[in-house]
Amino acid sequence: MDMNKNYAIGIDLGTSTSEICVYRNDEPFPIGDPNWRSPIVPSLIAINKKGELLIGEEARGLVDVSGQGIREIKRKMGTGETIKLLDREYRPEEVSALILRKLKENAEEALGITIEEVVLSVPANFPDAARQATLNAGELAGLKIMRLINEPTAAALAFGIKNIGVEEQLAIFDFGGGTLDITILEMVAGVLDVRCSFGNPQLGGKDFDEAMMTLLLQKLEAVNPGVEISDIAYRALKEVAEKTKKALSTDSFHRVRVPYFATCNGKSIDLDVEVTRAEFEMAIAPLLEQARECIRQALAARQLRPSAIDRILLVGGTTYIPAVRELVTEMFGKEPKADVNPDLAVGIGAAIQAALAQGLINEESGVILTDVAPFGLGIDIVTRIGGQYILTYEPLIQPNTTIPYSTKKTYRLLHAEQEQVEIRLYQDNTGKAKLPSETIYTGISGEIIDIPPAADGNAYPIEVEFSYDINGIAKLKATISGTSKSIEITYDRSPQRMDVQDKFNATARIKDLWKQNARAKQYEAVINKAERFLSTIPPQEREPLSQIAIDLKVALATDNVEQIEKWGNILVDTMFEMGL
Amino acid sequence: MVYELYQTLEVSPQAELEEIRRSYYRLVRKYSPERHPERFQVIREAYETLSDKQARQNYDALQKYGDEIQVLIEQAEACMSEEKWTMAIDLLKRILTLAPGADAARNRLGICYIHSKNWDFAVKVFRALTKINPHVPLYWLNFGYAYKQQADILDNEDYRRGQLYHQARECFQVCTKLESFNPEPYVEIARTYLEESNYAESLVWSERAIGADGKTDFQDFDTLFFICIIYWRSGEFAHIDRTAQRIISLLPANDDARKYAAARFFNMGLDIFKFGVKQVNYSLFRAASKFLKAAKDFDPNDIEIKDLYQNVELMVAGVDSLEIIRQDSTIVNELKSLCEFILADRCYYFESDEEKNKIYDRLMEEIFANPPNLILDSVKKIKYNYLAIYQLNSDLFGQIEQAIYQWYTHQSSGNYNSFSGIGKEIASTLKKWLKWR
Ligand SMILES: Nc1ncnc2c1ncn2[C@@H]1O[C@H](COP(=O)(O)OP(=O)(O)OP(=O)(O)O)[C@@H](O)[C@H]1O
Ligand SMILES: [Mg+2]
Repeated sequence: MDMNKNYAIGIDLGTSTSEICVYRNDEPFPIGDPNWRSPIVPSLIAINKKGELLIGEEARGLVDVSGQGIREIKRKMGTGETIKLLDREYRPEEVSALILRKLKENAEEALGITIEEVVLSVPANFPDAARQATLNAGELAGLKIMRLINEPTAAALAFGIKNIGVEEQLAIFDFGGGTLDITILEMVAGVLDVRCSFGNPQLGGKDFDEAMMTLLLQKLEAVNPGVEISDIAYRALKEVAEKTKKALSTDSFHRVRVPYFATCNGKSIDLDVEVTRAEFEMAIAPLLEQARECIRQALAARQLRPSAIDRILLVGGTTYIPAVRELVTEMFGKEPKADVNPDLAVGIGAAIQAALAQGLINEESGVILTDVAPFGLGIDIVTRIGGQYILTYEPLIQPNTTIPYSTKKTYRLLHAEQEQVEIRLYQDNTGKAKLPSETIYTGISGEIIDIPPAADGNAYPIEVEFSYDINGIAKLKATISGTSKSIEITYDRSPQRMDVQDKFNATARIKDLWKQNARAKQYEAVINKAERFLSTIPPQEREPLSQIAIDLKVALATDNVEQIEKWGNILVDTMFEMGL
Repeated sequence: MVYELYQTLEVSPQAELEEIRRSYYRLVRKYSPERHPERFQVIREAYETLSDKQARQNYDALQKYGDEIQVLIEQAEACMSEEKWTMAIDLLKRILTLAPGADAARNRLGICYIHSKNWDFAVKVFRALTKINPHVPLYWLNFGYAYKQQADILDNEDYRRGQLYHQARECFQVCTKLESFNPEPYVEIARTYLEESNYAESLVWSERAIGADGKTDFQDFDTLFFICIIYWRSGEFAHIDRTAQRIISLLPANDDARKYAAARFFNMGLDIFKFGVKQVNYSLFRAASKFLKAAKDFDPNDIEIKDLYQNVELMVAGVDSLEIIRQDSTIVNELKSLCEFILADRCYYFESDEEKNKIYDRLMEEIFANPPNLILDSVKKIKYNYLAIYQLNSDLFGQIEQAIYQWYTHQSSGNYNSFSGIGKEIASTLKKWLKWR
């Protein structure tokens, strides 16, 4: 860690939007895309027909074209699922890495620095595989991840740093594009003590978009029975639905118009409907109920009455929806205040965490953070129950346990002649699992073999030492007492994780793509400008500019570095000479 | 170190919760999880215990009376293993006055109350335990036992019985919800239904017990065995066979398992057989024979099993034949009675030899009051058509035949004796073909 650095960087890699924030001169602030002014970068990736990579706002036009773009990649992190862009398959880590890379570049350009170390935020209820995938994405993007911080905790930090004297029970209601997290913290003496986190990793703004899409289609069908909607139009509807949803956060009704949206009885028709906020609220009622359930769980977990919560912080774009705010007010019996910026609090908090870790904030004004394990981990053991031997789940750490944490437990082998034993690690999201089948197998296991027979005829005791560190990395060591046999397993390898070869391949793939981005950026604007000009003049006057532009595009498409440079220079020169 | 947790948090054992909380936060600032992970963990652990009222109480009790409690626990356990319930109860109560939050001791107290049939106390203990720890299946299970065992010893007619079984089932059901894979509570529910002769429900819950852990294997033997008992009680003997086949399909390839299964079925068969004998309930022989047949199938090489099985099979066949013989008008009624007598004799039915003697004498007198050809005809018919009965005491039947042939021979050689006269004589010599005590 470079202690002399006078800045610290935090990144909120979100489902729908991402932010990079810097902490410098005792102040955290976000850095946006230089071309788009907003500090909020949409988590969108697309590749145009020329093979050029577009990231963020510039990808919006293509992102919903099948095979050319991808949204909401965060939801696939840690699944091992791949994404096809043009003719290549990419891992979610790679797509995320490209977004990170873009954020990194934005900040480097704006600050004139080279960024390496960052704190990255992840949803509190992100499973381990997704956390590991996030770490890998960071690595692929050329970043060193100092810490993963839970998003709601980061948001609390953004509040806490400015309110160090406050003694309160805080609830963070973090409702973003893909996930809902409710975290309850206690702030005393400048310590932010996370008490518990509950969430629904599958509930977010995207579901509200889908509800809106259904609503729009219903309205269209009501007026035009038998209407037919092409795949392309359907995909474009996502963008329209999201816009409409956002509009209804401030307006009580919204008119949606998309010309030539669909066909009906062979005729092309427009999508032209009006949606009221009340209609939208009806459509999202089931989603709101799920959110309510999450709040109930969070409160019940610590046996808290809603009135015990002193302050509610709203985080995430979905909290702009008035019905969501009302729900929060109704559940907690108090109105949330605008204490933090819902879009930026997480990124800001991540930057603060980075600043704390790098010692940029002095001791007295620094907030201390304790966090919890978002899920439980355990192993399977043979238990005699009700007269039968059954394989049961044995928790080693329960969800919402304060970390770091370690424990030691002793079991016994099944019999004196047992020669080997396998330890498997399972993840329990509920805290209620009793059987391995109620958990998720992490794919992580270790085996002790060649155990000598026990001399005294009694099965050996086996000692399991388990620890879970502040970054959420678990370690397990099993030792057969009285022998030299032991095994150590760390929570960092599984089929869903990338090994060295995977990483190597991935790096190569995204390097390729990234080149396309650099080139696209360099010449896209020039070519666009030339083409715009060419379209205004009669065809017979277009040479030689038109040919030069074509030559450059060919060079770009064939990835011929020499030719790109050559034709690029000629184009720029020619245009310069033409006074363009 | 005593009261170590208090020292860790730098407070006195008398500290109020608020003081503990403040101290915790002050220390976390000093020893943050980031910079002092080990120290932080110790602080956190202390805080978790001391900020939880119940946990703190238990911890305090352990600090104050730890050694004393340890001794008492050992004593109580010793008493329990020697079934000295009253003494165990006293000891456990003493533990609980020192450490009221010692749930494990409370649970044992409840168990002792059950064993000593202090039902009301037992119920009270488990009600309290399940209220404080609604998620602990063991307490619900024992709560169920407190009701069930109380019901088990009541008369069938007792009005409280149904109510108690119902309450027991409610507890067991909570247990199944908490620990769906544990067969025990399902089986216990099945048992309560069996006690109430609700065979259908009993079977349903037994099957649930078998499926509890998601697979049917030899570990489910006890439950399958229990199902056989349900079929025995419901009179659906044929299903015992089928269930035994199910067990055979699950038998692991080792002799111990086979022998074990065989022994269990043999003993059951023997019990039922003896019971049937006592009750003169011939239909029970059929049930017994089903169990014995299963035992024989499990372990075909066991001589003892084979013998008893064959014996019982014979009697079952005899019983079957007896039913038909009763309808057979070609056989003299008195011989039918003799058949019944023989079967009863095989079953050690008669209280005393004297009683048996009396009945036998009268029976023979009545038989030999018939003309010899009729008797001979009947005996032959029994021999050819009802071999199962004939075999029950082929000696006796054979001798009757012999005696009549002899009489015929005497007749043809000119000794015209009246048949009814010698009937008595024959009858008394035939006595030795019966078994006497
Ligand atoms: N004014 C608004 N009204 C309603 N919804 C909005 C508004 N602004 C943004 N959203 C929605 O909020 C979501 C994005 O929120 P945000 O950027 O906080 O999430 P994220 O960080 O990308 O996702 P996550 O934290 O779940 O990974 C999108 O679904 C977006 O449509
Ligand atoms: Mg977010």
